[in-house]
Amino acid sequence: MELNSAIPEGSVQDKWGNHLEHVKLVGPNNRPSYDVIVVGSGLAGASAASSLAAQGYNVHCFCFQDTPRRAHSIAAQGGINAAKNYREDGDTIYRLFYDTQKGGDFRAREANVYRLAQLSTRIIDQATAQGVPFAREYGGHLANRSFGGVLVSRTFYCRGQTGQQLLLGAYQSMQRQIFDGKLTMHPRTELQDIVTIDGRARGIVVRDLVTGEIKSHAADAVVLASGGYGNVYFKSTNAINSNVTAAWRAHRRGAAFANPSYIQIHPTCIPVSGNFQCKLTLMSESLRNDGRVWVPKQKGDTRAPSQIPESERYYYLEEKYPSFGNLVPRDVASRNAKLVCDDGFGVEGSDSRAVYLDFKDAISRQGKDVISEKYGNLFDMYEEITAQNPYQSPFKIYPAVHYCMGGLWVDYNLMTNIPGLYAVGEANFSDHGANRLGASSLMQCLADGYFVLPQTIGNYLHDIFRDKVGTDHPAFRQHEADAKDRIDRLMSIGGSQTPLSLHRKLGDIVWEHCGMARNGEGLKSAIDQIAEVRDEFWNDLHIPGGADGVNQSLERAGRVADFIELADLMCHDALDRDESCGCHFREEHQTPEGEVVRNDEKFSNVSAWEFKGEGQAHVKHCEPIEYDLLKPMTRSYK
Amino acid sequence: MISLTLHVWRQKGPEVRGSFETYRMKDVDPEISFLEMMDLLNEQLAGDGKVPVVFDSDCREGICGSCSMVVNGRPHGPGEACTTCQVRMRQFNDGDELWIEPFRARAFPLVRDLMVNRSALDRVIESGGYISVHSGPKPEPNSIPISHPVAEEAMDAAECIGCGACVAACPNASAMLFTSAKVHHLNLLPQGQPEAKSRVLNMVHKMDEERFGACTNLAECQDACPKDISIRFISAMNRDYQLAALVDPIKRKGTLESQ
Amino acid sequence: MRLLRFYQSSVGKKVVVAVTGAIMIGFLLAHVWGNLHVYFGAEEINDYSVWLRTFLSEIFGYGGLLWVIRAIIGGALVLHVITIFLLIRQNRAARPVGYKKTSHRRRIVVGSTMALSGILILCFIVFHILQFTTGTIHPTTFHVDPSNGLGVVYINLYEAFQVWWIAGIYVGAMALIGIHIYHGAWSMFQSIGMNNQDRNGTFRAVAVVLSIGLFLGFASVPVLFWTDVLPPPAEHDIAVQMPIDESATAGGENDQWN
Ligand SMILES: Cc1cc2nc3c(=O)[nH]c(=O)nc-3n(C[C@H](O)[C@H](O)[C@H](O)COP(=O)(O)OP(=O)(O)OC[C@H]3O[C@@H](n4cnc5c(N)ncnc54)[C@H](O)[C@@H]3O)c2cc1C
Ligand code: HEM
Ligand code: FES
Repeated sequence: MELNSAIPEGSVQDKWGNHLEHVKLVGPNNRPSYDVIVVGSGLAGASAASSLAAQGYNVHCFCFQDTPRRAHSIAAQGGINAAKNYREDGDTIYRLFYDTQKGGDFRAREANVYRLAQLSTRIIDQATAQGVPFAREYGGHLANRSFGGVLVSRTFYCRGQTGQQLLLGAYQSMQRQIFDGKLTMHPRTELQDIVTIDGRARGIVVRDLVTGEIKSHAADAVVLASGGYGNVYFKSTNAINSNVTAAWRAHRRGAAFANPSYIQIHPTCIPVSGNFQCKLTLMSESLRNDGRVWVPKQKGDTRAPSQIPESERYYYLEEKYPSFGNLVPRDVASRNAKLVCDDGFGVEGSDSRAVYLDFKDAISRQGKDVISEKYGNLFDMYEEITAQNPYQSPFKIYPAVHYCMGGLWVDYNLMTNIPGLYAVGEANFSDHGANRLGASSLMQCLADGYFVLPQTIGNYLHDIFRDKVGTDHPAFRQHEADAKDRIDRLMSIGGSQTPLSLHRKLGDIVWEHCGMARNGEGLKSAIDQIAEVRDEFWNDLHIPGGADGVNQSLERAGRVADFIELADLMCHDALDRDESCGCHFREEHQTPEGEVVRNDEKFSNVSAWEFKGEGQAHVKHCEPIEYDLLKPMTRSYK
Repeated sequence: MISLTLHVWRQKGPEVRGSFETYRMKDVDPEISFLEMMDLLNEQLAGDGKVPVVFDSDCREGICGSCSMVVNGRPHGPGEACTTCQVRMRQFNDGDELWIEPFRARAFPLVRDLMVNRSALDRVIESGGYISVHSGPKPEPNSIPISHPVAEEAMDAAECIGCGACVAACPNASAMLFTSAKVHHLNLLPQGQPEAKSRVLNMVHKMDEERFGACTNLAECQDACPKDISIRFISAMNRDYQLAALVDPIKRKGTLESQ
Repeated sequence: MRLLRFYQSSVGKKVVVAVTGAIMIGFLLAHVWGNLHVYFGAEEINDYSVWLRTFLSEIFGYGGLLWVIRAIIGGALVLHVITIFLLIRQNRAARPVGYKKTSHRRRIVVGSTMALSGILILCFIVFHILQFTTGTIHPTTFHVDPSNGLGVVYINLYEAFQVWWIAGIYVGAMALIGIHIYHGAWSMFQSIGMNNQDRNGTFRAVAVVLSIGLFLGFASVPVLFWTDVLPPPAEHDIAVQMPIDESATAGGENDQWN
């Protein structure tokens, strides 16, 4: 397998500009004769599909929800970054690049990160023009808030529903293209396989989730915008149907999977309660702008938080990281919450796996009304779920799985190593290194979809002018038969465990050993345990109902089957990366205070894994990371 | 722990007759969510060799608008301004009897059990619920200031999650709340002005074409809305519609002969 | 064509319902004002009846203006009812399968029974015109003044409202009108797009005042006649009595109630 990152010539700052000047294009008169498939209608998919359709390509978009507007991006709360420097507080494109690269612990590709920072400002312009109602100040100008890991205020937001508003903007643009007949939407349709012919992506095989029918679609290029795979942990902040299937099927057809073990654990989530929970709820990180994180200094303190005097509270983030305080990056905040709870300082309830996030000071300083305008819906949401009022007593929070930095390997044009197969948004690995800063996923998804892909896809399409295959090609029949076989196999196991119970089993193993902290022993044992789950799955699975028509158990079973394979690769990747970096915390590599210790000599690279066949070990390929603009340094938020 | 009796609407498909089936659930943890309770029910049914209940859900935190059940006659069930997935079992008492039905409207054909097809709402948006822009360069957002209250009001309307509870709650299965929220959001903003007139005309006409009912101003929709969208947007849309339909000139060309 | 397209839409229909409703409310206000003349004695109300026909007769001729107004109100009523019929048909069709369980949070009986109260009002209007205007139905004797061919208002009212069930029908019908307007008058502002969060309180108050005011104004007349608070007509007023079948042709010209 060859990984050619196709990074253009020139200085990091000039690469994107140079590239645009030399990239090949398809003329407007020829675009309608190209079919492009976009799998996924989240921010990345919807923005890509609508932009490509507006350019004139003939676009088909797929999602498993009943309408594209329900894609998981809708749940993003806090905001989106852009280096607009509206506050004149020292923000520049370079600084956004710097923050992202440092936040990612120097494990991302510089050229991509710099391009992202350059495009960030245009996203805000684009969204505003679409009617996205960003928060405004009284003077009528756009408002900003700050997010973790940075020293400037560059996050734009729509109350606590930024993802929703941005997605609706993109969704509406899609609906417009649908009206014009340039875009065809296929909702309630799940990708089953990628069709490759002569090493090129030529189409997809899907299952109609309403009729159960297996169908094929041919195209000149296939774009995967299928989101992240955090649900491998079973309990996560992702929507419950988010899955790795699309990416994994591509991987099995030859696409390299990069850095699968880079998983972000979000520090401010509602702690687990009860043992039948299957979904965790995130409270936007923006809460850390005004809330203060603490635990009682005394272990097992059973007093109500309001009874604990100031002197007996341990504001561990403020004390350990005086310059960033409560706004340290997510990995640092999460790890520290885990540490204090491991040491027995966790607060009452939820098995003592929770810390306080306190707004008392903020409320007395700014008044309840101001706090309520900024965070009202988050406060309400918390109260709805826990029946506790955070205006009166502090939030209880604990980290939960949130985002996958890893994903399909892509080059600078966002194409995977399979020609004609692209990956955008959370589904690719590109821009966040080993840890993502808050409010930068929305930025990346939209940059990919509105501005990068539409300008780079022509480079490939131009080369395959009028070279078409239809779904009557035997490869499609073959792939369809494979998909049917797999479903028949799942349906015919006839065991006793439901997909949900096996999913939970798998999730517990991955969380325990490949979660916030990992070590060699644990990972090895996880690999064994995952193999056992895999055996159980293929021998003792029970799927009620039939394969015709709606069968949500079958849908989950297909997803869990892929999660099991992914979990195995994640553990191998985590074991192989014998260093700590960003979210990947190997207990063997830490400072005495518990900070991350990188090994740049050996691991300043991307691990891209190649699928070698059923039951065979994956093979690792390394893409070295070059540091032209910013030399790696020890990441400090003190 | 509480025990419940559930009467759940079961229907294999749009063409088949449906009916209520009664299930008993024991030892339900009051802290779990309503949909987690439904998951448990499905685990129980699978264990008994029965077919699980089909229902839509995804985000499970009240923002995607997937979940769509009517519980004891109320779309999304008990609770103020929340979706089914946000309802916690602590809202119910031991021994309660629950009737669980799908959203019912001609415009929402049933798919299976509690799952319905709400694509009519997409088609309403398709007919005009957008601002037409390409991905090219745009004016600097601060060059068109929008006052704080106006931005907030646009956001109030834009918060709609498209779940269709308004349609389910309305005695006439009307989609006026949904449609007006989008019309108002876009027609309020300066960016939405160029298409404001055609937007309201096309969206209202599409809404009728999709066979939703008309509004009788009973505000059931507003009470059922998980996002507290107000019927004041309906009034605003009614005004926009009249101006666009009756006042705005149709012919934009031609000269006038003098008398 | 533009109007037709407007009327075809559900929003346009609602506007038509609202505007015709507003016209009828305007009429009711005028009507109640007329009725209240009875408090000032038989002279007053009988003269009012004549004034209605002579007012602006230079322009419209005797009774001309009255016909114009009747046409407008009758037209509004017809349009109101036809449009409501079309809307109800659309609304019924929009939910072919209903719910097993229903539960309404705030929905008040008034709002959801507009069609019912409306139909009863329609029946009442027919009865009312047949009774006092044309005299076709005349449970009590119908008096006509031979000098101008008009029904003698005061006597006719007095005698009719001595019968308990006639008074009852009138009071009941007025209650229905009050109920209909209680929702309708607020709904009207919402439908024509005048409502917003600042005005809603006012519009709701206007609707309450209108509905209670109209009810009290109208219903007081039968109640006060029946309880004899209003005096019986003087002897000479009852002097003339026309044969009933002639009165029908004589004009149907007593219009206090129409
Ligand atoms: C609770 C929460 C809050 C967040 N808040 C923020 C924030 O404030 N700021 C920020 O920058 N980021 C935030 N994020 C991260 C961000 O929301 C996501 O990373 C981003 O939305 C991913 O978008 P996407 O377009 O890549 O994929 P998604 O939005 O996940 O969309 C995936 C799409 O792919 C489709 N799909 C998937 N698999 C298949 C298949 N097999 N067949 C067919 N279709 C398929 C789905 O139907 C869906 O349409 C948050 C994430 C969570 C969970
Ligand atoms: C004669 C038979 C009548 C029938 C069948 C009838 C029926 C109805 C119905 C069903 C509505 C719909 C309510 C809604 O959509 O909110 C309505 C509205 C209304 N009616 Fe009537 N009605 C009648 C007579 C009257 C009369 C005599 C008046 C005069 C006062 C009147 C005034 C109104 C008003 C003001 C509305 C509100 C319009 C709106 O909602 O925009 N109606 N009527
Ligand atoms: S599942 Fe998303 S709103 Fe209920």
